[in-house]
Amino acid sequence: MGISVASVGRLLDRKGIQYRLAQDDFGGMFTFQWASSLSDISTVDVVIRVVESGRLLRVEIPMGYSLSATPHRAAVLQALMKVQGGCRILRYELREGEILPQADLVLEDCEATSGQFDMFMTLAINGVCRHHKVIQQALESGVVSLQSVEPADPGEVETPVDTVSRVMKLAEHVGGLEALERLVRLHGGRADMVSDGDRAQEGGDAGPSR
Amino acid sequence: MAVTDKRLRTLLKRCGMPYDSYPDGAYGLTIDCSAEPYTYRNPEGGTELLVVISREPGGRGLTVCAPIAYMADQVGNLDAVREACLGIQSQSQSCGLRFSVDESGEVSPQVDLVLGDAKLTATLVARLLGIVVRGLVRFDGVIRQAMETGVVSFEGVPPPDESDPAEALWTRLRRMLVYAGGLDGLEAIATGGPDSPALDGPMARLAYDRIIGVSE
Repeated sequence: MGISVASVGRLLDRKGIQYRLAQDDFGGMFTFQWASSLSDISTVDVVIRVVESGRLLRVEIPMGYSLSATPHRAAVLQALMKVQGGCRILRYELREGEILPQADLVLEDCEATSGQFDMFMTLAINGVCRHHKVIQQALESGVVSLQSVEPADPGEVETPVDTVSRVMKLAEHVGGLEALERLVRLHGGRADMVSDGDRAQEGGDAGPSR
Repeated sequence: MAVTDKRLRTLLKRCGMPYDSYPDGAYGLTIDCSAEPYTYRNPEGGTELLVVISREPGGRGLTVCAPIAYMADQVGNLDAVREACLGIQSQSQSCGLRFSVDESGEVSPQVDLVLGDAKLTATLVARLLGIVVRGLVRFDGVIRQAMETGVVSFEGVPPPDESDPAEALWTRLRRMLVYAGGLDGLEAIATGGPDSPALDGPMARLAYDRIIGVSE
């Protein structure tokens, strides 16, 4: 079981991701760009490898970190370990001085689901982006500090599938999606949830009503 | 489908692995490393390797960890230990194995599984355990040398598992053990009675001890 190259392709298609695929008898390699809303980087390059005939999925996010180009070797090693310690699946590979952030999803005979795939990808890529400044700072100045790390989005551990399903159940409970939206607004929801029409009705003040 | 505590216990039993239950819902397996080819020794000098399996809150993930597998008390060598650990992670066979090395010198290898709504299987549990245990079997010398001398070297590391006939045999055994519900089940299937030694023979015993290290 595990996951097939075709399944990964379908999951990426569903997310509207344009990718390139190289395939062989044992698996395949997808390469694409991922838009990041975290850190000061807008996109990251992502490589997904389907290996061991689908029993293992590997995601690599090359960031161009190089240990050979920095005088702060010890600080960088310390930073990499600190970041790994605080992340759930992220790990850094060190090959001939080049540092490669990556994560593995061991599947064996477990049939991968779209929810699992989404969760894995989100954790891996957001983990890299959230800690980019930490690694960059260690490389450039030798300072190891996690102060610049943006807090993890609580929704990061949720899969989109689960989130949608939960929200729909809640909406059903309160009498529909609009009713749920109204309730959220009443209790101080996010400003960007309110439509332009609602803004006009509410006198233009769309901010939280706390 | 998140993994429940009950399901995890069932899978551990199905893998034929004795475990201890911890109060926080984690499970501990003690691997005996006294026999060849193990060289691992715990920070107290003992031959036992403790491996802990714990579920993420809500059962949407699993972590297999060998807490404080090493204690690098030569603080001057910590950078070498970190470099060794990163080097081990870069080996193609390491499959998700990652290390934490804290400031006090505690070295803990672990592997994490994102499960989400997927179904956990006994084969997957066995694989995750194998990643941590086999990683330490194979790279014990690298970590120890870095801890003791500050030198990082991968010379003398045993070859990857594929070239190891014991590993190939273990893969077949593991599959059988999982499907039979453990060693007792396999013996019962193979012999029709619990007293017949279905897994007798030096190669079978070597493979079983080498990969998982659960000695009867």
